This record gives sequence, C-alpha cells and structure tokens, in this order.
Amino acid sequence: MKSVVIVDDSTTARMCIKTCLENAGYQKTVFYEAQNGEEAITIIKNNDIVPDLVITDLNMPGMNGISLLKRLKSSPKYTNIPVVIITSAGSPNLKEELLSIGALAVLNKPISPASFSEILNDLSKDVETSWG
Amino acid sequence: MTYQKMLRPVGADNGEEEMDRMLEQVSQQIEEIIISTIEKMVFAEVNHCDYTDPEKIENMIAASLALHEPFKKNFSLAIERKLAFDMADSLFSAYEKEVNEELVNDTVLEMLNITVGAVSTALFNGNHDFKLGLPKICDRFPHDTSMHIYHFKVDGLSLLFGSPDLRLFLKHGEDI
Repeated sequence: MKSVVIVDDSTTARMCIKTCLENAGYQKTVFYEAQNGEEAITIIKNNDIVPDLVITDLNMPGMNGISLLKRLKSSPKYTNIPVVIITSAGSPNLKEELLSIGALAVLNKPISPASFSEILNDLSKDVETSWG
Repeated sequence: MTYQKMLRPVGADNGEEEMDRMLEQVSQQIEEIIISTIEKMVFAEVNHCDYTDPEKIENMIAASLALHEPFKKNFSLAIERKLAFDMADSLFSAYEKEVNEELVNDTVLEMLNITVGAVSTALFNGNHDFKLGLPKICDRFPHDTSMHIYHFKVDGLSLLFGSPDLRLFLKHGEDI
C-alpha cells in the first residue's frame, strides 16, 4: 500500500490535498498528516516509512517546506522521495530554487485534481522507467 | 493586459485620468481573482456588491495576512459567520468531520492565504518576488481608510476583502 505524507499547517489545506489525491487515483493509500516539517520527519521516523510521496506547503510555522525538502534530499535514506511543494506565494525565482534543490514540482494554490493528475502520471512514468 | 505592462506608461506623460483608468483596471483584475479563487475553493457563486451593512461587519469572522515584501502592508478578509460555517461544512462534509469553530477559522485563514497568493502573483506578474506572513484571526475586520475594500455576496451572505491601497502597487511598479 502506498503512503503519502501531507504537510501543511492548515487542516483545510491538508483535507483539500487529500481529496485531490484521492480523486487523482490515490484511493488505496495511507495518508499521514503533519503540521510542519519537524512533525513530518517525526512521523516518517516513528512509522519507519519511506513515503511514496511527500506533499508540503512552503510557508509554515516551525520547519518550513524548503527546510523539509533540504533535510529529505540530504539524507541517503530519503533522498529519492518525490517531494511536491504547494504554495500560495509562488514566483519564478522561488520555483527555480525549489526545483534545483530537488522538488519534483511546485504547484500554486488553489490546487486541483487535474494539476495533481499530471504530476502523478509523470511520477508513475518515472517509476516504470527506473524499474525497467 | 498584464499588470506590469499596465504599469509602464504610468509617469510624467500620463495624467490623473490615465492613472484612474489603470487603477480601475487593477481593481477589476483583483476582483475577478478573488471571485474565481473563492468559487474554486467552495463551489459557490460569488457576486460583487457595492455595500455591506456595518452591523454585519461587526459579527463577521475576520482575518489578516501581512505582505512583507516588496513592501509591508496587510490584506484582510471577513466572512459572515453563517457563510463561513457553510463554506467549511461544504469542504469537510465528505470526511464526515464535525465542523467546529476551530475548523471554520482554519477555513477562513486558508481562504485568505490562497486569495492573497493569487492576487499577489497576478499583481507582481512573476517579475517581482513577494513574501507573505502567516494569516491570523482578528477580533474584527482590520481595515483603514487607505485600504481598497471589495464587497461580495455568496448565497445572500456577506464577504469582504481588503487590499492595500492600489496606488501603492502602481507606485512600487514604477521602480521595477
């Protein structure tokens, strides 16, 4: 079963992301929810998981999305986890920076199932390619 | 027309009339963004109106969000209590989650966050980085005389959005 970690300080945002993922085909999935980066790392460690996907907001109290992305990408165990950043304050420079650090994609809020579908399709293609 | 293109002609060669016309266009653009963002979030029709009963404003759930860069100003949002509950309910009903005050406030905060992000992205047209703070709930609709207030009705209930003075965006735009 797939596992996805959703990181956002807003309950409403986490719920909207979860709905979009379910609509995009992630029904048989264990969703873990965290309010910031520290909580996400604690959840990943405590449950001893390497999530199939991490979706994180950028601007949160405590550890923000960019720090979480850097932490995951700097860890050999977690570096291959696809990380999607969702933000309400996107600019081309910021997007470029996040992609250069290793984000799979940067989406602007409000998100839609369609925007997720595109990314998830790309993600499954990457997995198929890497598995031959 | 993009916002930056609209900014370019503002200056010594253009009179107050031209400025007013551009302010009107920016205002219209912001209004459209607010409507489309909220409609996307809660699947309800949002209609512009000219006025909100001040007595209603006193009882609304209000929130503010600071823009830190490129200049420091606040945006604000206020939603009539019943409307805020209905909106949260429509979002959370699929999860059979009981809507309480905390969830309603969270919905209002996220709505403000997303709307300000969309408005700022359009106003700065991707040419200028902007930095937002974290939205917070306020005792009453935070506004001052310099703010541009947008009035809306959703299912007959009131919603207000406060933007920093539009002239600030134009003034700042000239420096870009």
